[in-house]
Amino acid sequence: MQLESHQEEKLRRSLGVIVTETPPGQDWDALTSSEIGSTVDGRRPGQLWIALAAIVVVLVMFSPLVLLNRGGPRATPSEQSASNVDRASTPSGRIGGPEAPPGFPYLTLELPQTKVEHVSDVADEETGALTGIQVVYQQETFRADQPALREIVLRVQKVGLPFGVFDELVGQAEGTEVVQAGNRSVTVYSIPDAAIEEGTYDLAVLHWMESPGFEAILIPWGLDRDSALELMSGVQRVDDDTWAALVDQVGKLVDGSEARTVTTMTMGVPESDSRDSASGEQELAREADYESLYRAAINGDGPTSQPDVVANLGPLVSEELTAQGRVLVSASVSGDVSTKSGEAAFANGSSWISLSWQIWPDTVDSGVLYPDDAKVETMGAVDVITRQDHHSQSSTVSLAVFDGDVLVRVDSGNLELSLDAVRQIALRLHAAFQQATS
Amino acid sequence: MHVDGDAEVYAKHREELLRYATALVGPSRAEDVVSTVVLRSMRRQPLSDLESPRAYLLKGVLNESRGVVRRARTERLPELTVSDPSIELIDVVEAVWQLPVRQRAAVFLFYWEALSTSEIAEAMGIGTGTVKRYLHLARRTLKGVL
Repeated sequence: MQLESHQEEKLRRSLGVIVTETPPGQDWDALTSSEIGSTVDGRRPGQLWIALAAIVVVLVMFSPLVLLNRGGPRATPSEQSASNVDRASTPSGRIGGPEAPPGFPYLTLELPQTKVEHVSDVADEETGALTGIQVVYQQETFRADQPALREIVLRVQKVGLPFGVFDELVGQAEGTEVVQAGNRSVTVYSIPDAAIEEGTYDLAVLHWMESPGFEAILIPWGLDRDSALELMSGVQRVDDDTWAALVDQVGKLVDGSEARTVTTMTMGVPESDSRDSASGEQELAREADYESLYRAAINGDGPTSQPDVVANLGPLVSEELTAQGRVLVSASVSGDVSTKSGEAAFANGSSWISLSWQIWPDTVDSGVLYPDDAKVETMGAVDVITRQDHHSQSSTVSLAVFDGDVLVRVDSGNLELSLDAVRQIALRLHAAFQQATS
Repeated sequence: MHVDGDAEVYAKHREELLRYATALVGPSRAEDVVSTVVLRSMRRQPLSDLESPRAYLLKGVLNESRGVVRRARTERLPELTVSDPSIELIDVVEAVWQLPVRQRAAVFLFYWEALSTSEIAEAMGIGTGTVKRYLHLARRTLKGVL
């Protein structure tokens, strides 16, 4: 099937609307209202998605297969409306989090080399009562020599509540089987690759009744059926305290014994919200986030010298971010100061900063280190070289501290760090480096 | 000299990667996707050491975008506000946005970046036959609004 030339032209213009007429960072709402035309009460694709999902939900709801396999009748539309369960989940946390009903079965997944990417509560919008929890695990892996993420979604919820992606996948299942995994009777929904277009495997979605009134769902993106079923041996029922600890330490590697990278993910409130509604409690929560973030890095199994770098850099980066009203949502540290190389990356939303330290070859061209437009400050044996990065054509700032054969480089990415802050970061990094290697 | 080499690679491809990510996940998430891919790739190996960094990063953007789309489906369905339906392109923009992410990637790379099917195959890490299938499916879907 080919398109006529006028159709191709129309398609190109539409793609142009999508990719060029929208400033990065602008939301789709703004795109369509300001760039294409004025906002009216027209159709909304979001509504189309919801309508599509609703059709799937209705179809699934009345599917005898689902009624059979999901352990009981689903809520009727009126019941669903009454319960008003939002499909959206909210970051899980202890402060102000919804109360769990008695006997709620908290589940976790023991999985080597996996980090918890996201912990969420699912709450009834009207009552605020907890109706479910969701954990997203991530594994970095390779697919065709390309770094790829496996994402495993584990969800526990009251029986029969809608769960958009699960309901949609079940609607695409080409078959089901029931297998025994320990004392759990698990229904395996086989989703053909043609339906999900993952490209390399058929997805197996697992569902079981965890306890009276509560069902569990496992969506192991990136794994085939057999690998998915192997995950069941890692499913563990945990008590409230263990669950709370997981929430507190979200992002800590489940198995950190071989980890060289520690990634901590704390779910911050959106920037605009955080600025507008910053209260004392939220400020404290943010501070706690920073603390837990760096504590997690410091408690990592890396070389003992490495945390010094993080400890020295963390507060400064945090101060700068806080001054900008931002919330730090992730940070990662890897490498080994003792071998004179490594990197750290901090990100919040679309802003990030990357720090790297490494041995610099003796053959380094001084013109590279000391470009004409650089600002050079000599501090003892250390030269601090500051310059704008002309390559990126953005606000990226680079700075290097050169000391003998050692180079420390700070790239502010698209984070609008002040030049002075970047300089301070490099100096602290250099000082930590010297301390660690002396 | 990895750091400057990486910066050069990033600077060279940044705009293209942002356009690609925007087509796949929308403008509000595009920069996140690109930043994540670049940082993750740099952790693995210097970008300047890659034989074909462009194809490598494009593949990375696609993989990450698929994750973002998955998460969006899991967490909250994407909200798009469409304005005046009388504007000719709205229907097409909507239809493109609702294509499966891989079909959308193929359409973008073919019709906007003007890549050949073999170049798209390399960028997506799939066979040319699959690219043709995605394009066929996408055209079939879009034909009604074009």
